Amino acid sequence: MNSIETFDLVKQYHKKTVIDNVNLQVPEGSIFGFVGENGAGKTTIMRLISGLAEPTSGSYAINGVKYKDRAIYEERSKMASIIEAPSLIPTMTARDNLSFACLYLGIKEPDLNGLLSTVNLKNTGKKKIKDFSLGMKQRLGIAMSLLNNPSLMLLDEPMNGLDPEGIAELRELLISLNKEKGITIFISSHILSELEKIATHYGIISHGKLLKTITVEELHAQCKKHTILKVSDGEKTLIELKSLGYANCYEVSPNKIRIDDNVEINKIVLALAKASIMVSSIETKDEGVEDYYLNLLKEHN
Amino acid sequence: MTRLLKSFFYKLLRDLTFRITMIVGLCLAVAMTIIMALVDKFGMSEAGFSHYMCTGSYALLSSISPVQNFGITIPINLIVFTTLQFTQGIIRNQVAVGNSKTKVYCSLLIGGLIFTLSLEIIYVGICVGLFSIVGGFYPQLSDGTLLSNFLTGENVLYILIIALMNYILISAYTIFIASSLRNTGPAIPLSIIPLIILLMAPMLLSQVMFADFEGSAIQNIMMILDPFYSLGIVVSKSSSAMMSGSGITVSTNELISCIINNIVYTGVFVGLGLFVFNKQDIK
Repeated sequence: MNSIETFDLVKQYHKKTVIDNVNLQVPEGSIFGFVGENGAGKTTIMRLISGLAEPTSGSYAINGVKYKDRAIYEERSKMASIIEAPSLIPTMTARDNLSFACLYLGIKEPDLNGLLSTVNLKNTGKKKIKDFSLGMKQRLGIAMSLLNNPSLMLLDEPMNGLDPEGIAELRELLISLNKEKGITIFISSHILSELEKIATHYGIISHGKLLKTITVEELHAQCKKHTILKVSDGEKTLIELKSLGYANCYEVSPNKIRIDDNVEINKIVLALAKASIMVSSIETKDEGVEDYYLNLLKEHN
Repeated sequence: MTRLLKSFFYKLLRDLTFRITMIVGLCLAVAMTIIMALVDKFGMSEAGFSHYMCTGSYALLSSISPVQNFGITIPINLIVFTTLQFTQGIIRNQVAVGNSKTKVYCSLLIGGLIFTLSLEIIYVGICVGLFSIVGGFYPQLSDGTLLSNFLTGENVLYILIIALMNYILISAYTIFIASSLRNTGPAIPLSIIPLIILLMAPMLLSQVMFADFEGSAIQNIMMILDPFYSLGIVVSKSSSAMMSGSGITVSTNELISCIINNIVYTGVFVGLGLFVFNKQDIK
């Protein structure tokens, strides 16, 4: 079953289409990494799903419940979202903010000290939110989103403003929430290297259009190995490589050649040596989500 | 809905806007008592009164009107409090955790009404209390005669009903403006200016037209169109009635027209507010 599903979802602002017929499926129990450039439509999709905005056309479903159905409110009560920035009351303390959230969630106050220590905010005492750093606010937002034991979390750029230690802590927290509590996490981030460490699925969006959804396994299968050669003469190297039958090679920067085919390094080195081309380094790399994303964008643009 | 209201009051009691408004109300009540006591001492004695303006009955009539000093600050503070609910993301959180927009708007309305009424009741209570302590409840002539016949229990009840209807309408209108604009800057003048015009119109018209205003076609139109007409007239009548020692009469027509047009206007603003709130995206 899909935790989130969209059906030809369209959102327009003043006749400008910002979400264009998006059909997205976020499988239950997954960590779905949502990738796209600034203004691609990631936040808008999250805002639509959390009920903050109405679709212009199309629809979506949360845990199989369509958004026009009255039961959608019940589904949203089992969902947590931090979109753009956590909404906190700046004149209150962290504890007061959590107590306030418990009231509108209609739940009994859980162990707030325990929750605050989970996100490393136990010693904030009477410090008001207005005096918190962005990272502290993000962590409090996460604590707030855990109050109602959600089955689904929408996190929009949650790593923004966090220091490397904070990013690592958040990553561990999200992995444990997903593994131990089975929470589906729909997360957008610009830090693709971080997303790569946690995501089980990816959705790539550009200019409001969903370009691709892919599982981590499919991504690994599709990610090509490539080899980077640093040589003394780029142009001559390309001619030699073509004569050896490597069609997918190009100069990425002066005297730096990339080969996207499987290569026999010995054969290449020997051929280049015969042509009096000096090879200063050879590096074989696996293509990650970042390369995959950039290549996909290049193809579509 | 109950949980939304609980959270509303949790925030209200910790909110600086509400506390500041209460302090402003208290300061104004004390200042008004001193001013009115001075007016009585140095101004009204010549007209044959020992206590006139600094009396509980005068305080009741003057402080209950939404156009008086503190009354006008209430919608301003309600605008500030409501727009903060949007800018601080409280409304966003409430919608995102599964509350329908209709429920959220209704909780804003009920909360706004309680905000308005509680502040006004506290202010009127303090004013009536302080004025009564200084000058007694009814006006008194220099020879010691109490002018107690100008304000009957029935009239007080009518006035309270009219004021209540007016404050319900003011809350509905203010919440409509605040939730539609979500920005304190334009919301404050848009909320206050129409209120002042409507509240002042009957008094100004009666001043301009003098005796011709009573029973005139304009008065009838005002009764239908201006939801604050009745309260304005009562406040206006009260000063002359107190002076002459005669009673103020709130006619059944005034009361009924006030109730009907206040209900209609409140219904319109609640309906419009719900429509706009449900249509608009939440940032």
